[in-house]
Amino acid sequence: MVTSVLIVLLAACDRDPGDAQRDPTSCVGCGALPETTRFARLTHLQWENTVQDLLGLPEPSGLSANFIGDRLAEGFDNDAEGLQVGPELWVDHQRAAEALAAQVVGTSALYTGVVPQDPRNGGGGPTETFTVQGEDPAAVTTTGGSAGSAWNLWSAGDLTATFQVPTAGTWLASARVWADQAGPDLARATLSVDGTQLLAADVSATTEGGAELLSAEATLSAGTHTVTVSFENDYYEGGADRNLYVDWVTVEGGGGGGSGAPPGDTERDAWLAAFGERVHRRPLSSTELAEYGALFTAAAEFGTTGDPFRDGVQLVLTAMLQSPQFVYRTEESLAQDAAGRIALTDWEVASKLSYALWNTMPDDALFEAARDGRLSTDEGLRAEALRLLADGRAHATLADLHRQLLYLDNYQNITKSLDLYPEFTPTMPASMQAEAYAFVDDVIFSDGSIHELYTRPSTFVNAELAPIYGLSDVRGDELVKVDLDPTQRAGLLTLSGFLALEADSYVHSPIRRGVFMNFSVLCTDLPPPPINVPPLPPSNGLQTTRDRVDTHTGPGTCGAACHGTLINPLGFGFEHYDALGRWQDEEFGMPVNSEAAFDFSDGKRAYADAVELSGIVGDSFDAHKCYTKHLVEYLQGRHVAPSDDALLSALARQSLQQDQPILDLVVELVLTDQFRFRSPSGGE
Amino acid sequence: MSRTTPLPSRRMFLRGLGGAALGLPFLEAQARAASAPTPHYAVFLRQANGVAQADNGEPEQYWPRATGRMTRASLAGDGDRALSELADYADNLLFVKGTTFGYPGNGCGHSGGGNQVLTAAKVSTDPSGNLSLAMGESIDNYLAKQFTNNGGEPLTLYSGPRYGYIEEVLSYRGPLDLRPAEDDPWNAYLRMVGGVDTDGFLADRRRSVNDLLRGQMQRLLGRSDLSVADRQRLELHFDSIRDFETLSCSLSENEEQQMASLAGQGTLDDNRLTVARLHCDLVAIAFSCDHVRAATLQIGDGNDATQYMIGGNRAPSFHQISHRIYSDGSYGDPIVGAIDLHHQIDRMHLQVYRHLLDRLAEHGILDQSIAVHTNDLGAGVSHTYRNVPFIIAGRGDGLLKQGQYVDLGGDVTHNQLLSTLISACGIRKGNGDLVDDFGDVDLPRGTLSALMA
Repeated sequence: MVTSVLIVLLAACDRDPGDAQRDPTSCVGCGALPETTRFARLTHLQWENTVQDLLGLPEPSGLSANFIGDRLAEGFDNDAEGLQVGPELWVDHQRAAEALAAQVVGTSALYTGVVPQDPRNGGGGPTETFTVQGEDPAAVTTTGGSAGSAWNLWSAGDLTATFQVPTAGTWLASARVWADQAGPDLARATLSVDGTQLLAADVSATTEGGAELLSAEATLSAGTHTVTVSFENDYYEGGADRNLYVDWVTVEGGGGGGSGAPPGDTERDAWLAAFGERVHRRPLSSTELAEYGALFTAAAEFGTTGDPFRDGVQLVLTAMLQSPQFVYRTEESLAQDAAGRIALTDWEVASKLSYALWNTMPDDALFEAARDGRLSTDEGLRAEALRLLADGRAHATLADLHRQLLYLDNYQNITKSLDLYPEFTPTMPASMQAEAYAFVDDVIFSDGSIHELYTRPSTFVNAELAPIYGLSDVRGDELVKVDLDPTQRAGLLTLSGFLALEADSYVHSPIRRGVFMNFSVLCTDLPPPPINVPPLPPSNGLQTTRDRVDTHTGPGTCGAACHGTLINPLGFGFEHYDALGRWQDEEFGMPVNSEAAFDFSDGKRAYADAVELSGIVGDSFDAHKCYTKHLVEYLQGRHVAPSDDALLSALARQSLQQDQPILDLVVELVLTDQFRFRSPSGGE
Repeated sequence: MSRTTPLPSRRMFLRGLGGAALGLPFLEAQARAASAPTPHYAVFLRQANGVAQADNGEPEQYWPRATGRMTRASLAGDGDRALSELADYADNLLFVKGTTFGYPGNGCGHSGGGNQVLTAAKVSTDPSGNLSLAMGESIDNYLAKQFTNNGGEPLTLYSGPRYGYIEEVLSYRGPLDLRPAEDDPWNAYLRMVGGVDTDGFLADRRRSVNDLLRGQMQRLLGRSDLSVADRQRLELHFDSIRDFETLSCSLSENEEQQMASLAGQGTLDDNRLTVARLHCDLVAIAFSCDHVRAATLQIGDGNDATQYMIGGNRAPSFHQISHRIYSDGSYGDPIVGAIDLHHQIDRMHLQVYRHLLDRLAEHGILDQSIAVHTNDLGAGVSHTYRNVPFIIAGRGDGLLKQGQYVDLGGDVTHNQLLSTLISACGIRKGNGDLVDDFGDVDLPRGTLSALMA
């Protein structure tokens, strides 16, 4: 029985001799195109970014925080195959669309930006917004204390902001608030201008992301005015504490308004065509224009603002934000070329590029490139890709890729035995997370290559991380860049967070580190572990961790196939790092042994420790191909198919041979046929 | 001098405008009227990590001492057994021990158990391990469709952390099609309520928007060049569009307040069971409004690592307790008193289940409901799929025994139990026979007469 299981496991872990030996001719763009969805639903992150850009919101709406989640994906969370609109998300989109449309028509600064066609905008010049942050000393308070980016009114009292209003007219005073709830009632807040209360409201929001806006209009003279937020009903009993948080206070207005003629059909149609193009991310069809136009007109019958034009804007906006053309990144082109491929339109390429590199909709320049037909040329597409990569949004996108690739969210679960690691602090996991983000960003945006990602002997530390690396002269919470001992550290795989995450509370875990190497660094075809494996005995302090793991999973055991050949050799390379990521030469008084050898697809390589292993990984075809696979999956929002193999091998070979910057690899990837064409869907 | 600008708080949204109609977006009133005369409701609660029962040499601390008839007195008399927590409901209960899941997991016992417990389907080979999925639909999905005949969707709730090793595992629309779960009861409630009609025109506005959206969706669906997967994607979206209707009931102000106060905090360990109770309140109100008729509630992620407060102390991770060692893996130092801690956690979960029964009883719908407490493992150390508890309350349509503890011996595949529960909800095959074919086609079919009155 045992023998047959062993055979199965051996078979499961028997590896392909490797593509490194396969046809080395360049193959970028060859191979069949994978079949992909033509309706890639925006991820919640993409939705949030898109509505902010589309509507000109000063900050993310936060509404997507309450959207129903998507199921945990095997790869990245933007794999379009698993992204659906079911009944829950449909309602979530509806509520968000209604709230945003109301916010736009109710906020003159937003309305002017969204509907520049309304001639009543801007009669008295552009609107202005003046903001005082809650925690700003300029906000005068009678109670409470600073709470990071807000002010906490922790007992009944006021926060008053003073503004210099430049012109007389109607101004909108607003405060962004949320509360800690306790006791029988919701927190109650009032908003006053110059001491006159204009609004009283229960505040049910409980998070900064879901904060509510208290707004009231006031007719003001030019000069000094105050806006006061008051917390009316403090509550504290048995530890239950009701508090009101004030993020910021604003006054906006000054646009004068009302000086232009009332808008009519011409302005309506101009707005629908221009704004609709940004929502659908392509020009609207005549049918779509007619349907939105009819809805716009009908809105006057059951509008809310008393202004037929604004009613039309509000209802059409509500519909547009729920349109499948908004919710999905659609690919509707049909024309096949001689090779049977379907080229994406310039508009479709623009969106694909923008969501790939920015996780949001195209900006005006990218739309312009699409309109001009520049995205169907290599030069035009390359130029736009380079432009997008030079923007801060590309940093955020690559950070999100590595957040998922390196399981950075899981760092919050890192805990260590305080008996063995008294220096471990509750804030250390967050520092480790910030360190990983900073390191990856530094490598990629200094034109680093995959090789450098795995070998660069530097990192970013603050006072609590520095001792992990044997550094003592770093002070404060801020991360600073430091060079590391190149005999002990090399790149991503010797950063504290990875080493601490892939470890137990008491002791490091060669198995978990080895599994991570297989899955995330080398993309080996590691099968799942068998069910109900007998537990390893606990550490008795008489064996090193390596010996204990080897005894129970190494050669000659049932785990020999996967552990002995794939997992343990890679994990053992990291024996010099304890469960916190510190360098160790001894464990339980016995010398540590980190020598091992691994069978890469281009041959078996031996290494003395993780530094050597990292160097081998950085020079290995397998690691370059694996990283390229992650790039393709994230940037195209799909999982790779067998037909992608030639593409991945070709890009990986190029990356390896030319020590190509990762950013160049990204541009190469955008220029492949797999990015610019799709396969016919097969139909039904 | 001024007017207030409407960005009302959620409170005002729901209640601030006296007499305004609350919206019920999902329910198709017509379909409801046309379905069974007495509606049935089914809810499934799931605890993780098995229970502290006799297994792997450990003592029995879960099941009553004697099978057969049980009474309040007999159940209370077994006070050292976790199920004594349910003594007050003895007359409404059916305990079922001795089933087994049909298939092994695929690299992760927790995931494989969670995939199977409500589906009786095979576990996927791709994806595998902790990401494995079920290869068939779940019973809540099956029942929701049968109950409404109109694309009815079950309520899918979760009290657990995000970014876990495994998250929701229970509810499947079909093979590999895991339904996402809501972790915030307040959010689920707002979604159910749907909106407030402040001016009498909300229904008109939504209908005109929805008509336009349906037209756009239909143009996409009308294309002949869609892949099967894209057609399914668009059909699910199209079927999810609902117009505005009026909800017949809502939570009390106090209940709303409780839910709102935990909004956005449902994923925190310390709120695990509090949020689970609020989810139970939500299920009860959703059933009593006839808003949905099937629901699942998963407490804890796939291998629940909650550090529960037990006797005023924060216990180690429940998953590690279930392994009896300070490790999520297979080696670690022993946790002193782990078996008793597991037993205490079993009791805490049964108290949540009892809370659900209380709420269903308060709403007068316990009798016509089937409320099931189950698990994705039988016991923690062995990760066995045998003797997974099925604690059943409610009579359904009268098919089930009540006040009984049945041990089926350990080898009966649990698809037959699920078929029996479906039948107990008044569902029949086309020829009028009991439903005997739920779950994977390769499993033995049948219903379990030992459970029937």
